[in-house]
Amino acid sequence: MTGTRPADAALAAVATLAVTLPLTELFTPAGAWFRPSVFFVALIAVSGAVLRTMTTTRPLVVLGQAVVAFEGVCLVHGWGHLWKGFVPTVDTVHTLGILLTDAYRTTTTYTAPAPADRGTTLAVSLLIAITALAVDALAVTYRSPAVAGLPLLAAFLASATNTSTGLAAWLVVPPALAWLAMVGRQGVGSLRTWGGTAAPGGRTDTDPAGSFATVGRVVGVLALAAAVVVPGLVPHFPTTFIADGLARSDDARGNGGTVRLSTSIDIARDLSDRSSDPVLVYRTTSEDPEPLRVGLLDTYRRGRWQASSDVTFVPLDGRLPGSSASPDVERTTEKITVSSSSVGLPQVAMPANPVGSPFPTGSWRVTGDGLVELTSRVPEYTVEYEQLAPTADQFGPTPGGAAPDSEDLALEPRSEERVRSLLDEVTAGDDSPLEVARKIQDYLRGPTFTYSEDLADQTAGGQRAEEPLVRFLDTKRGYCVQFASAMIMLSRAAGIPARMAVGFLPGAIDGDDRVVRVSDAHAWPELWFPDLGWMRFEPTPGVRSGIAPGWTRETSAPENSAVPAPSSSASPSASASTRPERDVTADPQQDAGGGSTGSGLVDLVRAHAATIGGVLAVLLLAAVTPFGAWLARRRARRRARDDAERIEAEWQSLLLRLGDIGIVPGDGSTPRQASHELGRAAYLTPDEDAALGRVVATLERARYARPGADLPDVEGDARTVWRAALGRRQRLDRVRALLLPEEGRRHWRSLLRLPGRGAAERRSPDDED
Amino acid sequence: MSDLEHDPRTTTDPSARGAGLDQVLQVSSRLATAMNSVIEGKQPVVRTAITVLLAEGHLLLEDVPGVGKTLLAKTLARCIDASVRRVQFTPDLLPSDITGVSVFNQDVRDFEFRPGAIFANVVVGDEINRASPKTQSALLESMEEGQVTVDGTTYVLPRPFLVMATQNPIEMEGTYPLPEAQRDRFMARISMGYPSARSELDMLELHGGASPLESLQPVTDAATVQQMIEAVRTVHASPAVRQYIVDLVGSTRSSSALRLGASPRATLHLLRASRAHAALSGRDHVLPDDVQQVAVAVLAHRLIPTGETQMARRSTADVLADLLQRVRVPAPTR
Repeated sequence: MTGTRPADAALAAVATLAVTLPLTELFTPAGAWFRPSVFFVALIAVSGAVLRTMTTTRPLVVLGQAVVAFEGVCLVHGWGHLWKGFVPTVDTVHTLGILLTDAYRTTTTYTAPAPADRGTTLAVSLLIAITALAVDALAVTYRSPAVAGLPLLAAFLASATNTSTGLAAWLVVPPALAWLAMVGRQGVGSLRTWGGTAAPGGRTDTDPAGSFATVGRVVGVLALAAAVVVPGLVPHFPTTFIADGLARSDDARGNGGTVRLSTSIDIARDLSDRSSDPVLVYRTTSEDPEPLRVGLLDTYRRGRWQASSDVTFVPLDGRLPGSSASPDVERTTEKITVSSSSVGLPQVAMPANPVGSPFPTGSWRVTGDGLVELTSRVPEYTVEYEQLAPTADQFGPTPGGAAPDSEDLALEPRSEERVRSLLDEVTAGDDSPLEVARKIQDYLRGPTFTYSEDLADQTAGGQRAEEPLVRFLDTKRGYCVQFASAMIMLSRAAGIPARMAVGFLPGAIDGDDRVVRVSDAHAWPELWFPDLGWMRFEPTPGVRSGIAPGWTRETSAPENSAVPAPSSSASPSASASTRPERDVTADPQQDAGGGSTGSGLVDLVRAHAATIGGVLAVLLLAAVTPFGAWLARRRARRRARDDAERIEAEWQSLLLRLGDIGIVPGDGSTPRQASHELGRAAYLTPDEDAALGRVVATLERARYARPGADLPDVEGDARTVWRAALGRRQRLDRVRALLLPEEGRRHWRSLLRLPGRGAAERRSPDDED
Repeated sequence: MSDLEHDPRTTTDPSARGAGLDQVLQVSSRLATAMNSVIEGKQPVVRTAITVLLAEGHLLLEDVPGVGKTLLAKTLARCIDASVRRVQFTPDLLPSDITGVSVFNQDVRDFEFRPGAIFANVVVGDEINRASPKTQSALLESMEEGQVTVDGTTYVLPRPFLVMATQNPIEMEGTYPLPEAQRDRFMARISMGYPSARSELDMLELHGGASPLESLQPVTDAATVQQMIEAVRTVHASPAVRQYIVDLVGSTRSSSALRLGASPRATLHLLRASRAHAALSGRDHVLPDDVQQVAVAVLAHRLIPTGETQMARRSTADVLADLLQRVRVPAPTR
């Protein structure tokens, strides 16, 4: 009844693909997510076409498509987590969940275009699959291509609202054309059905205008509800982006040109230049890579950051020293391998605390601040560096009075008063330096501050230009430079030496590589602690900078209570071996998960209990309809007052059950004609046909002969016919007929007093001629 | 549609059937054999003719000239040992030629009724639509009521009484279309149709020499036919079947493809024809299948299609076939 309608299905798929075009501006490289998405869209279109040939029950088609699509997603993204290689398990769902969490982090962390890593690829292809499913279901299965415009529009708007630059106008054309083509096909199709002979007594005269109005109202309400609810659920890119103002290109936005970060940053300036040109491509061994540092600025005067030191030297032994932290601080050595870099001389991007000699002798030097500079271009290099994982007590009880440089404690006179009063507000007198730093960071990352690349206007009424930092603290609106500056000044006021580092965020994952773009440029504060050296903090809100370093956050209780430093300092290697390396920087949730290994068994049992419960529930649900059918048959047999009624009930039941496997006699068929049609359609053997003949002959006598005719019991014959017909159907048809018998559905509907669908089904051949 | 006669499930058990139906089966089978020996390859037509005979109806044979309409009528008439009259309808035929006329008898000095051609068991009206409507109408009373009224006196016609009329399609030259009222009185209209190539070859063989009609001997007589008619009347039509007949006829009235639906008389004829059909199949009860098989013959000539249907070149038989597929066969009510 529903029909395969491959052309419509193909059109729906094309429409869905057309609407994904704008996503190319949101996730790069497009190739990574586009191929799986095309696969899913095709999968849904083909499975829909196939399912529609097998069943006329529309929800069943959509459900089947969803199952197929989910299986496809599991095969593509959950590979290696499937039972027997194709059955999704709890583990698969867990894996997908992790990937989706990743995707959530990526979309909320990165500016468009975001990196198309595994997580975002999954998320994007999942969203496209859902769109494809909705479009296919509405346009093809439910034959309402006009309504299918809603999911298409939703998908398009999701792309359009997430791109900061606005979409190219032509991008609306392909999906619009595809949608119009769908609506047009439907229109032509319904026009062609006009002019047929109206069936006598078939179609009831309902007011078409009334039904259209009802449909319109329902669609309107649903669309409105979706418009309110969906934006709250879909993760969103930050609407603004990043510190492009930090990045200066030698030849404007030049392709292949080098990018140098300004060594003098005006913190009062708006960001306007945006560029997604790649700067750096590298690989890292770290699970949680650090930002790549390019420059260090320690002097703040008149709203401008500058590097004070111009002393440079080459280490005597030709090796970089690594971290200056005391040796008992836990650390891991990670490595980055840069395969292409367009950072301009003398700057070079690498994480803090590099060790070894990564560059050829004579091509590099070190500044007084410990920053590496290059003297000749080195496009490819490998740097090892130390990632510290200090415990809270290693930050020391008092601020490091012996600052490496007096500039690192200097305050700007114009903002000093404001900074000190704010510090008193934010921190308590007896806080340790780490607590002070954490409170400052939490304050800046808190809800009162807004990340924005556009700075607020000069405060009204000010006769002279305010100090930029004061203005930032007043307006609470700015980008990384302002946040870093504020944290540096507050820390310095608390006696902690601090300086500004500029560089790049770790960039987007692209296969095994990570790609850093100009738009990933970033600035962050480094605070000095006597036993640790310079430590990175991250006051810029998470929408831009992601998660702050592990030591800057209040960690879970076990970590704090594990203060006994001696144990960890006495045997650093032991502690390193007992703790997985990435736990050091993992986010709190993972800590919690790792910490509860004791209750893992319970969790396992609980998870399996849920699975078992789910399986039981599914079985129970599956049994509901067959049970209803059994009840209906029993009721019909009991209610039969005589043999004639009993045989009539048997016949109706046989017809319904044959209908379940798609064998339906014509509307005007007499029992005898029906038996001929059924016999042919069910491929009955002569013996089985004879059984069917006995059933029909008895039925004819029951119905049409004089009352009192001899009526043998035909239950056995009816069962023979049903089993023979069922046995010659395909497995899927058999399962469907056994699980969802119409008899059972009618029984429950009649119990629930739901209107039957009989009338609608009888009319449908006319509708769908 | 399957041929009921050869479906072993269909016939009622002979022991339960009763003598009347047995006689119907035997005689009608002899009748059919005799007729088929003259008319090659037209078993369904022959069967319908016998059905109409047993259902006390009248038969209208409509087809182009030369396909054997008159031969069929004459054959059926000859197979029954009864009074047979043949009237050749011409434009100058008068009503009194059909019904009879009172003439003044000089001897007894009174008017005396001279019965017309209608006073016979089997009346073959050849080319009925060549007579004027006035003459055609003379048949009305006799066909429906089995009696003739002339000069205020009513004369009852002999039983059984069967009118078999042949006519050419109304598009042919020199024809007066049969009035609707007249058509409605015929229980069934059948078309002979051209014979198949094989039947036509056989026909050349058979009819090459002496006409087989000449050597045909009657296989039954009027009294037996009357008994058979009585037996057919006893065939059981269950409420479900009657409901089906009413639904079917009702559907012709509401069909948008038809300007005029079937009359209540048609309903009655349909039931009687269905009974005869069931009896011919050896059954003592009517099935919806019986109704379906006689429906086109019984109903098609009474329906008038709309202009649109005619433009679409759909005959009333086509419309009826559609309706037969759509009208649901009612299940017994509880």
